[in-house]
Amino acid sequence: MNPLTLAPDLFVSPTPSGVLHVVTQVDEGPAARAVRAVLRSPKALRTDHLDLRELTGEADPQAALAVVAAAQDAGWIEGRTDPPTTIDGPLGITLPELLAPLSDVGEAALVDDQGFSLSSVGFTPEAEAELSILAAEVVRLQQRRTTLAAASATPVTGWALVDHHGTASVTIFPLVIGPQPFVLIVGGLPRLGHDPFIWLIGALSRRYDATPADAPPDTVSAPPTTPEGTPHA
Amino acid sequence: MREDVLGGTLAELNSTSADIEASAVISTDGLMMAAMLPQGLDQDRVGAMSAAILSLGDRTSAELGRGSLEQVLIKGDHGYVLMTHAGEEAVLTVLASPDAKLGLIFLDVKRAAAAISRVI
Repeated sequence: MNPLTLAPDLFVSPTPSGVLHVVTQVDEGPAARAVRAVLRSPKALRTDHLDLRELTGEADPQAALAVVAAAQDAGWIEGRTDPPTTIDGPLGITLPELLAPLSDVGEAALVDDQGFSLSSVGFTPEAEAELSILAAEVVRLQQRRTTLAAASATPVTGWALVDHHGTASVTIFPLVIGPQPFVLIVGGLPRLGHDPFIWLIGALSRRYDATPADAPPDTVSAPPTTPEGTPHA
Repeated sequence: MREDVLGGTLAELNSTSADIEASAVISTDGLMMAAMLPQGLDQDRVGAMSAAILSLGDRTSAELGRGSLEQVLIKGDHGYVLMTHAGEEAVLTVLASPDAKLGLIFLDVKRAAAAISRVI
C-alpha cells in the first residue's frame, strides 16, 4: 500500500457535521480529537506547513496521516483552497452575530449548563428566561440518559419542543467544548449545516478549550486533504 | 511585572463584554493588587469591601454546609458585584451592568481567576 501524503496548498477546515459530532457526542477517539485541535487553532492550518504531531498526538507520521484520513473519511474535516474564516473579538459582541444565522427565523441563544445566558438573539426576554431554565433541565436529562446502556445505541444530538404534528418549534442542543458544557437553543428550523456554526464553535473552542498542552503551535500547520478528500495514497 | 500581567488579565476580562464595567484583583487582606476601575470609585473601599464580603461568604458557606466558597454575587438596582477567589491569596471582583449576561460573565471571570491564580 502506498504511503499517505498531504495534498499541498490547502487549508484544513472542520465540516459542520464534524463540529456537531465533536460537541454533541462523547468521542475521545483520535479523529475526533484532531477535529477539536483544528477548532482550537488560532490560525489557519495549511497542509504544507503542518505539524501532524501537534494535531493528532501521533509521533509516527504515517499514523498521524491515518488519523487525518479517518477524520476526512468520516466527513469531519476537509481541505479548502481559501483559508477558513475565524471570528475573534469580544464574545459579548460577536456571539449575537454568530447565533442569528443558526436559525431560519433568527432566534437563538447560548446558555451555560445552569441556564445562565451568554447571549441571545430574536427571543423575547420572557421566552429567553423560560428556555434557559428548560435548557438547564435538558442538560440534566441528557446526563441521566448517558448513564443508560441504551444511550449508545441511539445517540441524541438535540432535544425539541414539538407541536401535535411533531414539528419542532425550538430545539435544544447540549454541547461540550473542552471542560465547559453549553446549551444552544434554536428557534424555528436549525441551520447548523453551514459555516456560521463552525465559526461559533471555533470561537468558543479558542477561548474555552485552549490549553497549553494541546494547543497547536503559533505557526500553523495542519492536516491535509485533497478536495476529493484524501490524504493521497 | 506581576502587576502588568494582572492588569493585562483584567483588561482582557473587561473587553470580553461591554457589561463588565470594572474589575480588580485584591489580596485576601484587602490590599489592591491591580485594578481597572472607573473614576470616582475608591480603590481602598473596593478592596476592603471585597475582602470583607468574601471572608463572610467563606464562613457562611462553610457554616451552612455548602462546602468551599466559589463565588459571591450581589445584585443591586444598578448592577452586579461578583467576587471569586483567584487562588488562595487573592480575590477577583467584577462590577457588571444590571442587564449583564451572567453566563458569559461567570465563564470569563472563572477563566480570569484561573489565570490570576497562576501568576500570584
